[in-house]
Amino acid sequence: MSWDKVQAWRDALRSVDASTLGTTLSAEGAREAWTVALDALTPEALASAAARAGEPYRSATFVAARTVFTAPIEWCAVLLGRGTAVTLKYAAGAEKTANAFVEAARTAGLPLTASPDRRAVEHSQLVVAMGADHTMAQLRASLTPHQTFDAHGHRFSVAWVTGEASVDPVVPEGFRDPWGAVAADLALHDGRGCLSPVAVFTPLPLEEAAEALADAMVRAEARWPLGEVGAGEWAQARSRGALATVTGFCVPAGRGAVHALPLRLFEPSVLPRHPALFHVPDAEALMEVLRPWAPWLSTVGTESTGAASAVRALGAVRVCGLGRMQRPNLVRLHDGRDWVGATVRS
Amino acid sequence: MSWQGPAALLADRIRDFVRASLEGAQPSESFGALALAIHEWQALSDPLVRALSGPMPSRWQDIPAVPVALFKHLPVGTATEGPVFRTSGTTGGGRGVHRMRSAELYNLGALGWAEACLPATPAEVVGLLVDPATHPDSSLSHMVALFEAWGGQATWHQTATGLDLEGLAVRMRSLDGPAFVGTTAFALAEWLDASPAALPEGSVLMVTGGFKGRVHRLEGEELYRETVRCLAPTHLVTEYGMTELSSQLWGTPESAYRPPPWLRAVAVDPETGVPRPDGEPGQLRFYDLCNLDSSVGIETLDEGIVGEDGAVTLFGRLPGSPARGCSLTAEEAWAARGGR
Repeated sequence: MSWDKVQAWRDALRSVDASTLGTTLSAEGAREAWTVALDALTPEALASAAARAGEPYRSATFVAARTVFTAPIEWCAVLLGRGTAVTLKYAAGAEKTANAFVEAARTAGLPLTASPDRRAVEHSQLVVAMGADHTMAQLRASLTPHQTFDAHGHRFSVAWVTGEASVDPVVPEGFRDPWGAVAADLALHDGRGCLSPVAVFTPLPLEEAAEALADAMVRAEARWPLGEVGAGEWAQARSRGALATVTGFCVPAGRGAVHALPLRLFEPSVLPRHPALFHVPDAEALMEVLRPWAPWLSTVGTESTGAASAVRALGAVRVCGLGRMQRPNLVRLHDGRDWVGATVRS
Repeated sequence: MSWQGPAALLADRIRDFVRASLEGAQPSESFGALALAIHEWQALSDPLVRALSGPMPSRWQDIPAVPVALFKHLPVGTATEGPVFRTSGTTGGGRGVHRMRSAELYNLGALGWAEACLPATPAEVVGLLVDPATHPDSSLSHMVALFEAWGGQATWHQTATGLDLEGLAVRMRSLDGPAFVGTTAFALAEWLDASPAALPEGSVLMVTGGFKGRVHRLEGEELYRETVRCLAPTHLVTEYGMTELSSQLWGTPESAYRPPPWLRAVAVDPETGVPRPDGEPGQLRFYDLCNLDSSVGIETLDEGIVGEDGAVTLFGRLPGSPARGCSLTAEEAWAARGGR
């Protein structure tokens, strides 16, 4: 077991300026995402992961998606802590981040290597991967029956805002009002990734809610400026803005916007800092909206305890407070699964 | 169904503009004046266009362009009867619907501009496309079917499961002269896999469209090289059109797409929607006078350059499409749920 070394790895990573890693995020956005990911590796959380019984794998490969550059941190931490030799298969453009992980691991004495080569999965006992379902299927087909494959397909998250404020100290100061907390969730990783809310549902009057959310997003942008946005993302954001203009309304929010839409137009589209906002009268109606999407639902952020228990009835969905959506505990359900338990043979 | 009232008067003006352009004469009014008149009527009659419009613009470049995605979600235009064209839906999110009261303007422009651009118009038409008799909502098949006007017979060889290679081989063997062969890029790649014989001398091969998310070993330049090597068409031409437009652009693998005089392209900044100078790449918008029943301005998700002469160099879909990562995309969600 190498849990002490994992803490040393985490501490070495803290000295890295994430704004130099070549991500698409702004300097402030990259640093915040980096800090949040490392902060999750508390001694208590690592101890909780270590307490999970099972036989560690000798070797593992983590296939990282391009969008959330901090995603390998928790997986590498737990696998390395168990004594598993880890290979990080990184995506094009993620070389600097991968090198930062490897260099910190070398300093801490942990067996972490990195490669952009697809063949990095070939000899690992455990392969963990994130991506589209068809990519997962292709990867699965390329593995031998002796390899364990832990695939995480695409998911999405939503927020349910009833007006109750967050008192969670993990939520950054200045963002503990309900709309501020959602804006903080939307800002981290520029809204990309499965834990970010693609849509916000509320029983509050829509005009009032949209204005409040837009104001909070402007505050968030001042603290964590928007990073690079692809031409295709901008085009689709303007396109949905037009859809909102025709069917609802659109409130500018810094470089982003709030798209207030009728419920029938809900679909889980990821548009950086361009949330879709929907009016839903109550938690019961929200469940009706979400039920068909339950297999693809990762997280529901809410301060409403009534809604939280209703959401749990949908299945293995993570429920957390607003502002916490992209600041998860290390030990939790990931896409409805006990991911920490999956890092050992049962 | 045909146009009534102000729409009928606009249709007359569009018809005159198209005919004069095809005859090489100066239309009796400018493109801009007619585009603005069409937009004014569309904004008055269609709540959707009106919602996207501010004060009446004074230049055609300032006419709001309806994003193509809106055709998937909402009825664009006011036609309730008449021809309906639908997008393939292969890129997810449901099928876009383009309704028109009459295909008369579409047909006039499509046939006329094809004849103006094509180096030859062989009588026989071979479509590696769905049969318009069974798929009347395919705008591409509708356009190619217009070429039966050149005096021959049209046959169709795309099925729900792929190309009808056997029927296509029989048809090709039966030809005793040149043919017009219309195909999508993906169907062409599939045909080339079957090692077809060279086309008869004088044939025209038209390639259009991308791969719509599908993968094949032959793409882009390689596809054209293999086409020339295997099929040896006398003329290889390219076509750019879309369901949401009534007019098409024609080019060759070596040259930009030429729009007809009644269609203008503008490349805009994807973030702001502000037009970029000629020669700079941007998100493509089209202003199509023949789009009387929907919106004269259409905004695509394609990237390209509009040259000083108005010709369009197409790069394909805009880069940096929405994040995939571990996030579900709408396209995947729709696919998983079986579409709308």
